Amino acid sequence: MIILLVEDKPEELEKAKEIFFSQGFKVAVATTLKGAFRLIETLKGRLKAVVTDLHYPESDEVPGADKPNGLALMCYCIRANIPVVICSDINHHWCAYTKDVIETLGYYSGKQVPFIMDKKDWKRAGEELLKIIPKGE
Amino acid sequence: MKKLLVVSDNKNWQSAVAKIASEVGFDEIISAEHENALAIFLEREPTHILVGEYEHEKINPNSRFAKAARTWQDLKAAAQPSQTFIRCGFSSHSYEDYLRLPFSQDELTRAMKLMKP
Repeated sequence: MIILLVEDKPEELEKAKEIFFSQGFKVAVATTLKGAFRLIETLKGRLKAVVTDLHYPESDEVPGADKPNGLALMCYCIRANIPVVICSDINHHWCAYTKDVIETLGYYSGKQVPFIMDKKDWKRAGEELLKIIPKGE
Repeated sequence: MKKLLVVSDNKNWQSAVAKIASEVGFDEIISAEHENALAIFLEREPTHILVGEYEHEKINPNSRFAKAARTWQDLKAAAQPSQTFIRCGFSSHSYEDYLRLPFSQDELTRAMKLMKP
């Protein structure tokens, strides 16, 4: 099962890859929003799900990881009917509005979007992916 | 089992490399074009990967080698520690993971860290 992991910190990337491999996933990697869009297009129907951090650069030419580009990717995935999980270390006390945005978009689109906060728990992200990827994929 | 993925948009070159690769001891050789290389890489899990038509690190995005550079970056990012990656082109680089074209059986064997058959 091929998934796309979007994460810009190298140490988190390697940790996540190892965990996802152990859970049986095959992992393509992007470090920017533009890179993620390109790989989604490249992998087309073979891509089963996306797991994304919340804050990372838009592209290599537009650095700066302070924008929540993970939300843009989430919207893209909802529209493209690609299961998506957000895995972030954002403190749950400081992201009430972000939580509301994710829940509202999920609710009105009919797609559940698991949002992991406080710590980048990649194992849990993988477990959430398995719940939302349609059976038989 | 030694499984080689050869990435190139040139079918003739793919065939030529496949012939050398089978002679140096690869059990399976998979060919892919740059467009579908990542998907095939993830699905088939080769032990060794050869990305063809790669020139050098700083590539003009409009150059004919730009596609190879992107394939290389995508595959390396998705790599597992056990996989061996080699890129090849016509420049005279001394990178450990670079093979200058054309290469011999011995050069491929050394680059891929294989035992001689």
